[in-house]
Amino acid sequence: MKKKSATPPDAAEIRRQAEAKLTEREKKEATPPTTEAYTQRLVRELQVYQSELEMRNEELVQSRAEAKTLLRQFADLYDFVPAGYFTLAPDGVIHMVNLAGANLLGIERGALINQRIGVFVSERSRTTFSAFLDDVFTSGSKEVSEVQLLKDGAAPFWVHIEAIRGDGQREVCRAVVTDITERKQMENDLRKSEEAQRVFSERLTNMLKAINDLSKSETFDDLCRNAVVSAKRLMNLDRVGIWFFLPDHRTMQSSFGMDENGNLRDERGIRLPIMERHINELVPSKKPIILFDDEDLRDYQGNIVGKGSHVVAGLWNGEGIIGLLGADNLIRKHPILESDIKLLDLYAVSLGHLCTLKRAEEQIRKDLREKEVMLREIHHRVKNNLNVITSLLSLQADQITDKSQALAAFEESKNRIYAMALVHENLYKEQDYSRINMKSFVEDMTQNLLRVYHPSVKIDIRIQDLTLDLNNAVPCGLILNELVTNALKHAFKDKSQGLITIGFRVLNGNIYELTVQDNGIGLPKEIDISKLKSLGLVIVNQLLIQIDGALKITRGKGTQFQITFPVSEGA
Amino acid sequence: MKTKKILIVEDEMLIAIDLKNRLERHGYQVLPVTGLAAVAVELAIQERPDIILADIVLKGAQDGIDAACAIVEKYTVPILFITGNAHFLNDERLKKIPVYRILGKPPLESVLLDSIEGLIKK
Repeated sequence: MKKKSATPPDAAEIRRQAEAKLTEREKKEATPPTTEAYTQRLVRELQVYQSELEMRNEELVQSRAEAKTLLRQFADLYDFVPAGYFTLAPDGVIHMVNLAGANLLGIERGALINQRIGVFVSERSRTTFSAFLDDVFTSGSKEVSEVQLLKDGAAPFWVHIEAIRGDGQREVCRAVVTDITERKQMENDLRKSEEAQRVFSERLTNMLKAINDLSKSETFDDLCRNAVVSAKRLMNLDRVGIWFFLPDHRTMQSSFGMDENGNLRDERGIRLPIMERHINELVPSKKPIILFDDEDLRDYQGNIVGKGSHVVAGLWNGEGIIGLLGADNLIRKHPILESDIKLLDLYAVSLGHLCTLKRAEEQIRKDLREKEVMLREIHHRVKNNLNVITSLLSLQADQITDKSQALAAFEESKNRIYAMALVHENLYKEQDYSRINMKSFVEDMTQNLLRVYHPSVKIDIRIQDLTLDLNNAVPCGLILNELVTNALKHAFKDKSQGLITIGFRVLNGNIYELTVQDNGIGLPKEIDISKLKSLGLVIVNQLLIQIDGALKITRGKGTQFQITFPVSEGA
Repeated sequence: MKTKKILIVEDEMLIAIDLKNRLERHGYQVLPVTGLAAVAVELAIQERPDIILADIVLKGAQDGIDAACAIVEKYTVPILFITGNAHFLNDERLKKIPVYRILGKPPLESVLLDSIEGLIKK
């Protein structure tokens, strides 16, 4: 406010002016009437006039006080609104500024007047600001901008500025300047958090790609190896290791690890007890836990490599926890961040499922390989046995010289084939179908022979609970078949009763002994067993060669055949 | 015509003895049967049979193809494999053997005899 009202005239001055006026009037009237009455009237008039003046004066004094109050109120408002008010010339010279404006710039108000505001505008905002000021003076309407100002000794700060050219006065504009540092900070924070989210989702994408790659690992061990390598790379971890819980759920066994120097370590032999905190904190929460945050980390030689934190995440499959993914970070390099832990969690859960799948896949592949081998083996056995059968028939056919022998020959052939079939029927099923239970085989076989040749003979089977590998079992079974058949056919001639004792046992751990003892008439002394050409003996002799066996015949009361052969390797 | 010598390599002795009987009836001289690859190689080098009849799956570390390979390294002789395993048809080691044929078990006698004659003439 430039127009300051003049000081209202005080009462004395008014009186002086009034007296002067009266004197002038007296001069004009020359000879005033001097009657008492007239004088009285004049005095009265003067008194009225005086009182009128006094009243007017009082009014003026009061108005002045009111104006003062208003002015003070206005000045308060002007100075203390939370915005800087500037009155600026077109060249930016500051004509007026309120206190808030001066505070914004951190300079005393007096020192600001007649300064160019441009010197307080930061380098980067100068072009913007001068364009803005030009716009204000040319357009005549309200213009808005955001510029960065400088404050002595402080960081540059952002302001919002609104200005309009003075009404009717083309040479000034009024500008309102508001500090928007906080808003800018919020914008900045938002941008940062958006950036953090972008980075996280990018890392998440990379992690999913890595997990997809992991699923292509050839073997279970390859999977673990690849998993520690990619975990270290994806999550900026200094050390990573995979541990699997053993079935007792008290011990865990290491798999592979990455050390702080980026070397892959095969730690498959290492076992450690599972910690209580694993069970009590990690398992119920199903979230990774930080086991320690600022403790000494040691290298593989036991030297302290620095302070670090250790975090573990569970390897879960659909059913439960199967192991741990542990990670160490050296504090001086980078602490383990919350985002790292989140990724570690997701990574470990996926890895747990992959491990379970890969293990099952390996088991299935192994089973399949075994079954393929077994199938091939069985195919071979079938073809081989069919060949043995054709050979037996062919050998038998060679022996037949007249038709009367044919029927008996068929019977013998049938029994031999039946003995072979029984060997296969007694395959010991709990193993890999390559061993037979001798006791039940002998029981089955002798029962058949008794029925065919001599149902009244008793058989005593003294066989330990032994199994025999298939390579020995078929020849052994055929030999036994010949020996028992021989005894039934010849030992009990004209006898209604008889006993055959069959034994099978292991001698000295590496020799099998098979005995067939009868209490029959005994071999005639004149018979030399090595000269006999019977097919039964041919078969026995050939099969003995096959199993590296030896035959011993003891003649006494009845006859004893003792066969010994070595326990074959791997049997 | 000179009697042809045959070596039988077979660890199933009943098959071997029957084979031996039949071949002898057809006028061949049959060397002692063996089921061991190492013995077969030794016998073959000593006796120089005109053809070798060999089972493939044998007891011991070496099989019939190993034995055949070792023998044909010393002298050229046709090999007639008689096997129950069809998968040996693609065995890489067979490439080292100049003249061979594979028959499935059990072989028909006529096919067996024709094969022996055919291989010896080659």
